[in-house]
Amino acid sequence: MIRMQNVAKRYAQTGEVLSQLNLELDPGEFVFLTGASGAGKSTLLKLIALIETPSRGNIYLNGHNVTHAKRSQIAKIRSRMGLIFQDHRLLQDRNVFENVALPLRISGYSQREIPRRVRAALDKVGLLRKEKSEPIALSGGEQQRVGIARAIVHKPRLLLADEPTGNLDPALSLEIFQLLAQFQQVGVTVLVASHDLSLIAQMDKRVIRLEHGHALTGLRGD
Amino acid sequence: MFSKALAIIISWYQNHLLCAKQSLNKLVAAPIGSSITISMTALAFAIPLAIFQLSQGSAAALSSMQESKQITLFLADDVNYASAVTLAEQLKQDSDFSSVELIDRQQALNDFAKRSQLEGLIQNLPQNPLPHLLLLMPREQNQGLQQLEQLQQRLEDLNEVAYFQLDTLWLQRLQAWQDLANRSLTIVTALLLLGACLILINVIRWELASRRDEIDIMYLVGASDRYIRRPFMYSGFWLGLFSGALALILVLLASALIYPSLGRIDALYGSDLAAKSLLEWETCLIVLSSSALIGLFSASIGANSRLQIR
Repeated sequence: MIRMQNVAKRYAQTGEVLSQLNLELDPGEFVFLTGASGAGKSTLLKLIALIETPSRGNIYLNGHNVTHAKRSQIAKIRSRMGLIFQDHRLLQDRNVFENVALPLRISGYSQREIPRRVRAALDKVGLLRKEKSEPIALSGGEQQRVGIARAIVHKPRLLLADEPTGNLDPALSLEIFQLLAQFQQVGVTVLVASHDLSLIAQMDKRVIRLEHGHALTGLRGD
Repeated sequence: MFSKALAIIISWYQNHLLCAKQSLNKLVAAPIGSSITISMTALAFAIPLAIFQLSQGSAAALSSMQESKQITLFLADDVNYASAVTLAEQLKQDSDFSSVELIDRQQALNDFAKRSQLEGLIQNLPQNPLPHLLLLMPREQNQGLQQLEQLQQRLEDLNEVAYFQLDTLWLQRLQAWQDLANRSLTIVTALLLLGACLILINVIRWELASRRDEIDIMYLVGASDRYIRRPFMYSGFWLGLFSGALALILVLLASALIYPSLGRIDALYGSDLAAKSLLEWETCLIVLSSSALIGLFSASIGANSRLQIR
């Protein structure tokens, strides 16, 4: 599903964040990405989501080299992924329904199809009754679940989550992880960046640890 | 296959409709900002439109002043009445002229005597000093300056003609002024339209800047440039269309205000400026569609200039 070959990323201000990174994720895998803050977890996710381009190396998604994808291709590739962010990134001027509907509108789904899929996604994250609420009126955990609903509403094959539990208490965080794990069961490849090692240990999934810009892979439960 | 294509077309149409509606709602939601923008652009549209309307009317009025195009032929002294009649008949057959009038010298002298009250003096003249006259009116299609000069050439070659009078200089001057007016109008129009475009481009750029966060999120969930641009294109479309409509209203108001003055000019000159100052519905359609197009064009420039930065 994802393959990174000798990938390096250097920023003008901070120097090399990732160097000689090799990584492979099979379809349907659930993988945690850990490492100290500043180890490059977010950068790695941004490279896979094509938000950043690598300074060196190649990135393959589904067997296609996407390292130098064009702007128009990037939009298409990204519309087939689901992205989840620590700060939710919800549109504050639209209600929950419209936030979740956004990927469907972008992909041009019909007006008839959209409500059905949005409600299915909201049901999945347990927020069916909140579809008319404004994001600002929701708790942090609820906002994150809206973010997850938005990420899965168009049934992506790949789900990327950057510190999805960063602002949540441990009980809520575990709930979110378990929710994400459910998507793995229906065949979605899930990559979650998190520094919450005790929670990760409870999940019993493959863990990739980033250290000095390299990936130490294959560890379970770390 | 067919039904799938139809479904795609329908959802595409629905999405555009929704987008158009949302852009319109955004304009209505910020009434002060929108109306300032629309008023500024409308002024830029209205001024050239008003000048154009007025110049159309006056050009038509000037060209309808027929007396200036009448050609007066003064026949030579030795041409007698019979040959004058023959020449008049010949010219009447000529397709270049719409009317030919012969004024015979005796009749002209009598008229002059009556009008000037110098009958006594004139009766004592040893001979009639006036020549026979032919008044020629060129046909409509021959009234241009070039055609008149060609006619002039032909008439000069006639043996019977002593000299003739055609005030082409007057026409030349008029044409020169018209030329100047047209060129100035074109330049003013171009500058004002450019101004309108710049206003709209700026508005769209500000709109984009103020919605930067929203746009970033849309990019993250897979929106293409085209999708991001679409609501701004509709904003440009609406702004342009409403500006065009307001410009038409302004010009209508202006022509209502100057209508009485035009009526007075018409009465004095026998022209129909007042009627010509009214907007025709074709003009209205052209103004509305081109203002909407200008809006779209400006929005695409404004949006592209911002979206290139990722």
